[in-house]
Amino acid sequence: FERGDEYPVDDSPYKVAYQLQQLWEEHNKV
Amino acid sequence: MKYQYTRSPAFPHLRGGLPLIEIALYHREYEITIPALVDSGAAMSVLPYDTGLELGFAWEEQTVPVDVGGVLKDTPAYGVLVRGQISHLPPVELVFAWVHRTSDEIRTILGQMNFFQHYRITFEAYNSLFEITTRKMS
Repeated sequence: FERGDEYPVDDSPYKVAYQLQQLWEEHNKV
Repeated sequence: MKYQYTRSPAFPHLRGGLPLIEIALYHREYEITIPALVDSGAAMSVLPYDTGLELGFAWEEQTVPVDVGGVLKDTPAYGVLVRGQISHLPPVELVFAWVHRTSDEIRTILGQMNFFQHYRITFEAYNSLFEITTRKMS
């Protein structure tokens, strides 16, 4: 772990989350 | 609001249980109330196939395919938007991966995208309690 600004800090989980986020954001634009 | 972990009668000596809640889901004129797992380790929320049908979704009409991984790898899935409400909290816009697996095979899961974007959620497994409240932006 590395120290983040304040707290300590397979890509498929990121990919599907981003796909769903884009759908959500598109809907919010309407 | 605080909720108790759900225990299984089959395992009376198991500590804790599962953080399950009842959630009302709305889509067009359809409305259902179902149990769902609050899962901080899930990248996305998951809606079983038959649950999506109950909400009036048609598989052939979906236009936003998503690539689910993990234990659902290679399972066909589409992104869908549903309105959801838990207990007395205001309803929110939820996004799910609607997967081609039935509720006999998988639970409805409330994951990071985007259930955890809407609420402040804390787990106290050692007390068999978890709490869901409105979010506080930092």
